Amino acid sequence: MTRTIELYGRLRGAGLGDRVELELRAGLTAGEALGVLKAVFRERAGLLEGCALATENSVLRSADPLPDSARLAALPPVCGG
Amino acid sequence: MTKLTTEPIDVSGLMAEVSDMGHGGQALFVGTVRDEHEGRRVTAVTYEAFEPLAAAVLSQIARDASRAHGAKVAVVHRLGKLPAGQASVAIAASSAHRAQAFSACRDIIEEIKKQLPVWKKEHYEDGESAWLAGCELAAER
Repeated sequence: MTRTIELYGRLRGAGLGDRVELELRAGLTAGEALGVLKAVFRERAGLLEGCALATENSVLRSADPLPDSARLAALPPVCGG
Repeated sequence: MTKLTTEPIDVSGLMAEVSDMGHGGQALFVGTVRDEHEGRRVTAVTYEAFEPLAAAVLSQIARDASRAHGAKVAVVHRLGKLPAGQASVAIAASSAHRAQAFSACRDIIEEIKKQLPVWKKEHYEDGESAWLAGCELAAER
């Protein structure tokens, strides 16, 4: 299934724009999906260190199943305020 | 009341949000864009958010602080490009006594730093810019 992952903060410096489309098989966890994203980032995969996947409502733990239909975003460490 | 906005923060309006005749203490915290970071002259900071989650997290942070301290709270966080000197975040709290209002403001800004999905890109006078490091997000359960 093709899923869109929105990119924020420093991840937009990877030269991939503000979102990427990934082919993710059903039943993947958030951690496994991040692994697929790292492969897409290739030599820029280091930018994903410390990042988490999230939906509009919550941050996903690595072992959480990827929700089927939610909006997904890759979030680097935060620094609001 | 919590809000993410691209408009300048109305601090007086924020204080009015927490006004209460039964509250003898009002506290206000305002975070502003510094013009220097690690020896570099900063001209502006761009604030970016994953807005739907940021709105939900900010609301939860405010509810938690309100409940913990028996305070009325109001929080506004700016988004977009802000020149040095402008307010990026403002937190107002009122409570029966001053200690709870101070504590509510402190808790809210600390949790914003740890939890709010917002990122800062500093712009320097030499034309360069850089995303700032931050706190890793942890899923809540």
